[in-house]
Amino acid sequence: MAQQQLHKLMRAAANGDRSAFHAIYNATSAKLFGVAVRILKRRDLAEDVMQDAYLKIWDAAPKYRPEAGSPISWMVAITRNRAIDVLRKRTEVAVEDEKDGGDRADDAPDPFELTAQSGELKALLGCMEKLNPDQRQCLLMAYYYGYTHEEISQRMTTPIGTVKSWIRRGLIQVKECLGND
Amino acid sequence: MTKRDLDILASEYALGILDAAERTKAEKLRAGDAAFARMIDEWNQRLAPLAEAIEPVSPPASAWSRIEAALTSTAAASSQPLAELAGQLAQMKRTIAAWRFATMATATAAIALAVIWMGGLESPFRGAPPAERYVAMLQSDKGETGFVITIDMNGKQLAIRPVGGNAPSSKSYELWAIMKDDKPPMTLGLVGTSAYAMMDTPVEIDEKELEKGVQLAISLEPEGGARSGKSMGPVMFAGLLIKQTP
Repeated sequence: MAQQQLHKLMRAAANGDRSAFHAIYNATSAKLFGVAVRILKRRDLAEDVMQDAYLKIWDAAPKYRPEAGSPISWMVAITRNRAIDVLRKRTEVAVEDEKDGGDRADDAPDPFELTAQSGELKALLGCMEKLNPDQRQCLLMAYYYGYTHEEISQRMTTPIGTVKSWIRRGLIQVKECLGND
Repeated sequence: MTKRDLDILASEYALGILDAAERTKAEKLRAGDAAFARMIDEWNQRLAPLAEAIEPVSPPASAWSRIEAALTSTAAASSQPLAELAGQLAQMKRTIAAWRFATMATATAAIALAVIWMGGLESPFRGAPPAERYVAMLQSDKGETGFVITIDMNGKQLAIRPVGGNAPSSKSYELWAIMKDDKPPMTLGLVGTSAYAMMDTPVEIDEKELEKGVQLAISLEPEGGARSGKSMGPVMFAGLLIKQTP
């Protein structure tokens, strides 16, 4: 769906138009569900998260401002944030019960391999390419798996302090690079 | 924290790398600091393109009807997460304004109803002078009454009487007290399904707070209540606690 149309639907939903909200759902739910499944790796949890996210989107629609990003980016951020909340609460209970083996993607998505990249993604990846490979990998692992510093430190067998500073410096570099476009 | 430290925290929060305790800290900060909230938005925007590489997955066909049902039950504007609600009470947002209006319009009715109810059933509160009792009629933003709540400040007991329906299956209703000041909402416990119940634990609301005005609210939470003691769910019913007798 074109961004412009999504903007129009958002405005209608902000005014309480449920059919507009249903149209938004139809246009975006596979993406949001994909994001939730990606982080949580379980469809049942992902469905709860997606539901919470849409309720939040419905509520916050009047506060949505186009200058804060495209509607889909905004919705993805809400969903991903909620998914990470749930993930954090579950880490004490080891997530061993993944029923949907197919969702257990051991290979993180690789945005660099994506054939159709938006201008924004191209710009972001252009900046990420300037980071050292470890920094880049940390950022991607954090984004696609929702890992904490500690989890990344274990997976990369690197001290946590090093991981922290890689990520901090990486994010700062990315921001500076994007700002200098 | 310097602006730079805040921006780093915002970036880590948006990336999603913080652990549970650090996230809670960042969320508290976000609720009270508009500049920090904006930094998070900006970071979300910077990182958002990465989601292009995430494969879409079709949700089950039943997902929309669940969402639609939740929209219906929360009605147009009532489903503010409680955490946000608390900070906004003073601003008389439209939802709250509607509640306030409903609360005022029905305050008299609430007293009448509570009195009738307490007269009709044997009073659960023994020996408490009426002046120590507070009542609240919790309504949806449509004005439907969901619960009548009575608090006996002598025994610190809270009695809850559902008038509307129970929470949908696999969800729980949770009762919260929202103080006038910017304090975080305080949970008073889960609402059971019985037609009349006393809360197990004593109510620890300060009398001074009650005089200033305390709102009670019932939110819809995942089964078992809000995780981490912080409401995530939509507010379904709310109402002001008032003294039963002036």
